Amino acid sequence: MAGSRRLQKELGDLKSCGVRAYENVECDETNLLNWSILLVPDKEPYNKGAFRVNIKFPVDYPFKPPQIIFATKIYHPNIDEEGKVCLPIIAPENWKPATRTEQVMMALMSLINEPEPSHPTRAEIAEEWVKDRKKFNKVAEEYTKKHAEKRPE
Amino acid sequence: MNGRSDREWQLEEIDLMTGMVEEDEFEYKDEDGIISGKITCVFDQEVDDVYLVGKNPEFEERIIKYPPVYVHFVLPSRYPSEEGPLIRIEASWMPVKLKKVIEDQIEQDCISPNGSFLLFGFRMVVQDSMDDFFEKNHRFDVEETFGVFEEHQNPQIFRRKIVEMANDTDMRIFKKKGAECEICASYKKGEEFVRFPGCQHIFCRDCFKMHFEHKIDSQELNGLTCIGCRNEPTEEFLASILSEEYFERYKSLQVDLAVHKGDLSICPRPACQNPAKITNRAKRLAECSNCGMCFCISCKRAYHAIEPCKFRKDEKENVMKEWEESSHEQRLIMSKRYGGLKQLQNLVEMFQNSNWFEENSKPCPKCRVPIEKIEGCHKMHCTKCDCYFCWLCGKVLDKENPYGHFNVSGGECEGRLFEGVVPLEDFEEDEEEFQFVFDDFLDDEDDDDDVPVEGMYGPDYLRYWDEFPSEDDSVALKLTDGQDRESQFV
Repeated sequence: MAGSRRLQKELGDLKSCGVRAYENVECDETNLLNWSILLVPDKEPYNKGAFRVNIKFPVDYPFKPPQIIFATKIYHPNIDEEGKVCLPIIAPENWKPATRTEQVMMALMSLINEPEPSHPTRAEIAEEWVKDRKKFNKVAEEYTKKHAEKRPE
Repeated sequence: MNGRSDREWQLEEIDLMTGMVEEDEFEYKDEDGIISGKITCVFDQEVDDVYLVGKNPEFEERIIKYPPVYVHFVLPSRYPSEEGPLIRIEASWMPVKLKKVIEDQIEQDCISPNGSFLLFGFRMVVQDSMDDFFEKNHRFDVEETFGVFEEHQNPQIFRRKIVEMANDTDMRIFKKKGAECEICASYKKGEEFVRFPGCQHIFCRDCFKMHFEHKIDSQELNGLTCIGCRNEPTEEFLASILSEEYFERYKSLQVDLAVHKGDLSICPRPACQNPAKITNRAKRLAECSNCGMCFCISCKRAYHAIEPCKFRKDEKENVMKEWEESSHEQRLIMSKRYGGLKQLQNLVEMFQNSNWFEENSKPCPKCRVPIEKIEGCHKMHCTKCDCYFCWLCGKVLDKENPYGHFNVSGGECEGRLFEGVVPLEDFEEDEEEFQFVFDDFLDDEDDDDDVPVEGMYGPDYLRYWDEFPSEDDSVALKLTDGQDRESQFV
């Protein structure tokens, strides 16, 4: 596989990137194409838990973009009930082979912290986020406490 | 010279140089027994603290690496026993003073060749002389140094030259050394890397190749850009990266796209098939630059000016299918291939009409004009070519005795002249004479509500008809304008 060396390097880079929010990455040694990352957001209302995302790389990575699925339920305008997230940086029409997973993670973290209500996957949450931020924060925090994983020490 | 002739010595030196330095750094020719050539000296080392300056304080350029220095040499026939080599230093960026120093130094080394190979030593002499010179001259005035040369009058041009030359050095060194490709993360030799023309992004050749192949495989021509940015490649660049097979696929995809967008039209000659330029869209004219064919972009037949188009059945179906499946925007794009939206709409309307013809008419067996049978017996008359034919089997009938066909004993159509004929209500109301005839001859196998009429005439009624041969009931349809049908009763 053409991208294995690149994936290996990216995996190492991500593990040692020093960014607490996404440095917690695991990968089955027999399959470099599936990663699991524990996201640890610092900002409210998601800072009461940790969120697991699965990254699936295509066999022709990096010429095709990876896919991201949230394994942990999250109350967010841009992430649907199945965990699918709309992230422009990995949309096929925008994808650049030079984009590294660390950049993708940075984009994902900024989307989590700053939702984009203009193109939501869950319209009702987006509306709440726009109109009643207090209520949104409260619900999202409760949701996080209920569904999210424990934050690593 | 250890028993060796000068010539032998010279050849040995050339041999040694060829083996010791990079291929692109040494060239020579051997003509009429005189060897001459050029040594390119590139130095990887970074230069400390050396600036080019001018009268204008803005003109200050740091030299990071020495630009290349070329040493031209000629070995006279009596080199090295009696004569030294002739040397000329080529380096437009170099202060004249420094050039002189280098030339003098080489000459000095060559006065008494002591059995060492000189050519190989030139590089060292150049480097040492430059290091010495710049150690003493951290800043040197370009205008003062080069003022006498016209090309250096303009400091801007000179600066640009210096930068270009430094890049050249960089590239040469990069080629010799290796680097890690940002895309595949493999460490490769410099020569395996390629610079994208324009944006200058550098990635390895394999990654460029895979990137382009992937875009061609998925038919995303607009994604066929540099790996690092959205710059579009030149055709030469693609050809230099892609295999012949992929390049051909790229070319045909490009043509497909242009044809789809209506910028080109494929020449209809089976032996040609060249993408042809549309020379006059409004007139639907395309001219093939390959075979010279002028054709109509709508029907793909030889150009027919104001005559209407003729289409084959499958062509019609394709146009109708595409039209029906297209959105308004897609129809606009589609219409470019047919000389504009209005033309295409007319065409579609014509096809809808002609579909109707096909379902409701039969072509005249002689002249192929579609003929609709509105009512009457199965002996048909074509008003266009004046022939008679049988509606049932399509045979051309004897002009003198067209009804004979229906009387041939044992023949396919024997006794079937009026088989299945039903009257038309319109005619029942408007044409009483006809009503009479048809009601009378109705062969009532249908279960409709028409009044069943018993056949009152046997086959011998035909003799009456023979007296009125012009009363057959055919309708010739003209396809020519595609819209109005002309029915003619003869």
